[in-house]
Amino acid sequence: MFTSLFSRGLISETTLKNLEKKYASLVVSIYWELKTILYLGVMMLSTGLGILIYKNIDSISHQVVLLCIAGLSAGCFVWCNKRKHPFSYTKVSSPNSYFDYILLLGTLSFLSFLGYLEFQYEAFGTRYGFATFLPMVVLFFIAYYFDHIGILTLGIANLAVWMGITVTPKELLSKGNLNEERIIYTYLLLGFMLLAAGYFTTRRDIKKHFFFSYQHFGVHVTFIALLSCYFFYDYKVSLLFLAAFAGIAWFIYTNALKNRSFYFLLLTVIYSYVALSAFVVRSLDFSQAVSVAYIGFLYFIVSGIGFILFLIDLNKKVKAV
Amino acid sequence: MIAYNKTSLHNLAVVKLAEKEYDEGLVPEPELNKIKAAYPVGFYSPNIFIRAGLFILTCVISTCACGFVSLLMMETDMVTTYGWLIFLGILNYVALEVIVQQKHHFSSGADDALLWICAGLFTVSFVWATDSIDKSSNITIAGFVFLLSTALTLRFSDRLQALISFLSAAAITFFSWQKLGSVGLLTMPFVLMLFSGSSFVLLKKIKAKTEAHFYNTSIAVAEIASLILLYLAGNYYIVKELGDMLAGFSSKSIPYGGIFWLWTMALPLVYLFLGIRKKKIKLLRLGFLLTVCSVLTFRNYYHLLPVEYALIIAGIIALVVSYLITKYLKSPKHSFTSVELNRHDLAGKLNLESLIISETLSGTGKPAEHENSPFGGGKFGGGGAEGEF
Repeated sequence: MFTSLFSRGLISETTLKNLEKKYASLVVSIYWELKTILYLGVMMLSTGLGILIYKNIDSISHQVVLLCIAGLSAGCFVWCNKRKHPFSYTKVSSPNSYFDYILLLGTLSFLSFLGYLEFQYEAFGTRYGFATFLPMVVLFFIAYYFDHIGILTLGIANLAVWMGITVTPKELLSKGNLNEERIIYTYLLLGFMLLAAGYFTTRRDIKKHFFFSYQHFGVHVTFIALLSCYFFYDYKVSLLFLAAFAGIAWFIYTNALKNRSFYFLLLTVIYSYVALSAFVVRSLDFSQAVSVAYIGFLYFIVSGIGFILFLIDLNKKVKAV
Repeated sequence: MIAYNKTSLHNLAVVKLAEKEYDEGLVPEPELNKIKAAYPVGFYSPNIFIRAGLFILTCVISTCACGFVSLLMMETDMVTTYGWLIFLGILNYVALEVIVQQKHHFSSGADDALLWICAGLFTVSFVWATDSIDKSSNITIAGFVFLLSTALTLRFSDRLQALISFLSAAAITFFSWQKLGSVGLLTMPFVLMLFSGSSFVLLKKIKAKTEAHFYNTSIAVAEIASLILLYLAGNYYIVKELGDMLAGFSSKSIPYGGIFWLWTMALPLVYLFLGIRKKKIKLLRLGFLLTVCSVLTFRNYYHLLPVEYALIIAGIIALVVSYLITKYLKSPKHSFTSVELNRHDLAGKLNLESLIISETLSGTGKPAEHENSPFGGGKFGGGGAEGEF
């Protein structure tokens, strides 16, 4: 195969030599497999420890358990602190491939430790707010201090918990009860906060690579909250939210186009399509005539084709830049 | 036979290989560009995000177009027959052919959507038709699905259709053998082993033929499926529970239990060994996954340790093993390395790992539900997953 490329003059002799060398002694990388096993190991260990605490919470040995977990967590942090590269506002690469996982293990056991303290001794009082506030602050601190994106997303999820809601897509869809005014507004506030965080992350150049995480959760939460607002209110009031939706969608769209991010472009397009279709269906709903059904179907066919052409065009545009 | 332009398919294979070597830093960029110019690919296959968007939108359009046509024909009785679904299926198929032939779409999302929709419509109408004529049996339905998905695989080389084709063939074997009664049930595992083993060999033979190289990905999917089925057919848990379900009673043990235990324990190790020996990364992954399955199967019948100790020990073993292997393979040994060879890949770009962490672990740090309540008396109100208190 490569010899034919070489004979056609498409690759140089050195390239061919390199390729031949590679295929003569083929080396397979199991980098991702090892990472997966590491991750599973951290998961199992922290879950096992969590269950261990629950089971032994009543017995004499619980202080021993507590001490062990505190020791494990402290050990992980000390190890990580020793190995870590110096702090910087830009991306800091991890010193080796297990660094991230040891840090994750330390963080998770620290969270178990905090949860246990709270549970057994009510160390932070009975106020719900503070018991979730502290882990959140710790998570954000660790994320920035050690430069760990995974822990940042945990921090974001915890921020939502602190506000009394949830952000992970799975729970958002299954448990999210988006029919209470107060909850919808909480979501909206959280979405704006995350979008703002994403904006300032790039603007102020503080850990620029954290942008994706903020933006990812921010976009989903904001759009879903706005759509919920739209469905929650009567026709006329809801137009206000449609306008807000359009404004934010435009903001995210131009931003994504600038960064050439297909992911956020696609999200904006799909959510906008849902919003537009919801508006059309709701408007058509006023008329009771049967012919409305025809118009509805026609709308979906035409708009679908329109959005497809738009996406294809967008693809070209982003690639051309 | 295949709907796509063969030259383009061939060129695509060349370009993809060159891109892979470019990602590993072996082919410099100007040479990659030269190769791309010399092997033009006339397909429209956008990136994964655009593909997802096109897929969703095509589904919407197809559904509404079908609805619109049905609405126009509402007055006639045609709409309420299975023939109508066949008609809609044909419409979708024509649309699929047009975008593949005229617009040169190849895995663009639009063709995926239309392919699945028309396969679904044809299958539903077939079930409907056989149901209305005669009581439909599992075998005829599986047979129809097999023919349909095989035809679609040959025409569009779609991985999912290939998988369905393999599974329906397995279903035909299963249902026909089931007809033999209790003897059939008893020998079912061996028949399925034989089926998957022989289909694996057959697939290997097909793969070796030169005409088959457009179907490489489809064949690979079917191969993996046959290896998994080969394992499942002899897995102790599956054999016992499925046998009980089909026979309608629950048994304490099964005949030839020893053979199945041996099969459950040994086959994943064989896969692992062959994966290492032949440097097949997919076989290696499969062996690893199935080893986990076997351990879980074993735990299901013999509780040696409470779950938390099992988790802690397994976690420590996983950490230590991966640490040692990473250390050991830092510089390539025995043709394996723990260093990442590929420079760009999608998982890294999407921060997939961080999203998985947030999805699997966001429960941590959440206080138990009852903490907020004024009645702090109960010691272990909610939140306990074990229910032992």
